[in-house]
Amino acid sequence: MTEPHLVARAQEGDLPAFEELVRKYQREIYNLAFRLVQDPEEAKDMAQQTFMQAYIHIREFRGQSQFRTWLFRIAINQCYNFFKSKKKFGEPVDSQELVIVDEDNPQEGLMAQEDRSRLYAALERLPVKQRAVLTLKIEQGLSYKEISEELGGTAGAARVNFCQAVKTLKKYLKTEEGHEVAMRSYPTETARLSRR
Amino acid sequence: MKWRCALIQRRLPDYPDGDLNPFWKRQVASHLEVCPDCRQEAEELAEVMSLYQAEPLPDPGPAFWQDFQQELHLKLAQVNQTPAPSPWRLRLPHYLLGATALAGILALAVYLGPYSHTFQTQQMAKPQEACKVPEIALGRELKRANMATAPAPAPPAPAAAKPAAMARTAKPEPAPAEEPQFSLAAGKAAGQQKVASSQEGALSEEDDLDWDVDSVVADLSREEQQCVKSQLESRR
Repeated sequence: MTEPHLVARAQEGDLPAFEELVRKYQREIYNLAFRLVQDPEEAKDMAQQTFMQAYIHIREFRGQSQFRTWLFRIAINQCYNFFKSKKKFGEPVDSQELVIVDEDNPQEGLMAQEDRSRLYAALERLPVKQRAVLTLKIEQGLSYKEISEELGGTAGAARVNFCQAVKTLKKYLKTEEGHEVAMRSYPTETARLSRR
Repeated sequence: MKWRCALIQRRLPDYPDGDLNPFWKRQVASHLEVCPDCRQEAEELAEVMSLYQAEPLPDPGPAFWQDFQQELHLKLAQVNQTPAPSPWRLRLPHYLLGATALAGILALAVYLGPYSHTFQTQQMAKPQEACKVPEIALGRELKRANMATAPAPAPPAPAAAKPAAMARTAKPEPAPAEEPQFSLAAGKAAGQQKVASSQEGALSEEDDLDWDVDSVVADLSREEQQCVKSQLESRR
């Protein structure tokens, strides 16, 4: 059964058709939520909330965009709401839970674990919007125009956001790698901060 | 940093596999050949991208997805059981319901209230006036016919004749345009009244009806009064 047919049946209230759509997109939505909230349990909750909201409002989907990108938009809004509530209630997110060690090859696993922890620590410091642009561009393969439809703004703004995100990630990775913040002399660091 | 390096480095994350158009691809490629700083920046960015792409999120496993789908199924079933709001229902916030009810009551009061009665009576009055105009003409015709048959009427009683005479002198003018001309004087009066509107003419004729019939009846004897009344009744 094709996707438009499944969507049409789900719009008539057919729950099995909607669950078929859930099975099709659950990994992408979960990965997107994971990249944004950086927590497996929260990402699972966000993904479930996304599908629930999609099921409640599926009659409002008019087919003007892809169903997949419509789901992405709902997921991003859910994550924004999560961050708002987290800011409100001061709920911490533990990024240590993200580290997974490969049990088959412990040496390579440890190396990969270091890289992963560096990457996740750097990603955690990125603004949410830049994280969203990175994952939508690199992992989901959306164009700048589609990203601008998801996050608002123009395609040019999405391009600038992406470039800025990559450069900032590179800077944070360097910082995490060499602990440059701790090793720099005090005048250098104050000069760098004053330039901001 | 030169301005050209700034322009190129803004496009480095999209080089070589990104959404750069062929013009900028050529520009970036030619600039990277000559600028070591930008080349180093490009290498570092490529390293970051490769690190990001090399670290895809691990799949949580089938048990996770089974659990995920079961939980979601329960939630969706709960959502499915809650009745959806009917499409024809008036979706107003509760604080506007009172205002809507008040507006409805006011509209009903205006529709059924005293103003509607006066409006209806005005509407009903217009056709009655239109019907009275030929009756007035008929009454005048009868009066003149009686005057012709009885050229020397008895002097009227002073109490009854005075109001009638006053009424005649007070209102001789209103002669409607559509009234038939029986004499030269009546024709002159009608010519003078042609400037008056038809509505005003109809109202003045209504006044004519009141005094004219009374005066006719006052001038005549009882037999003639009965004769005129019977003729009026038969004409009606």
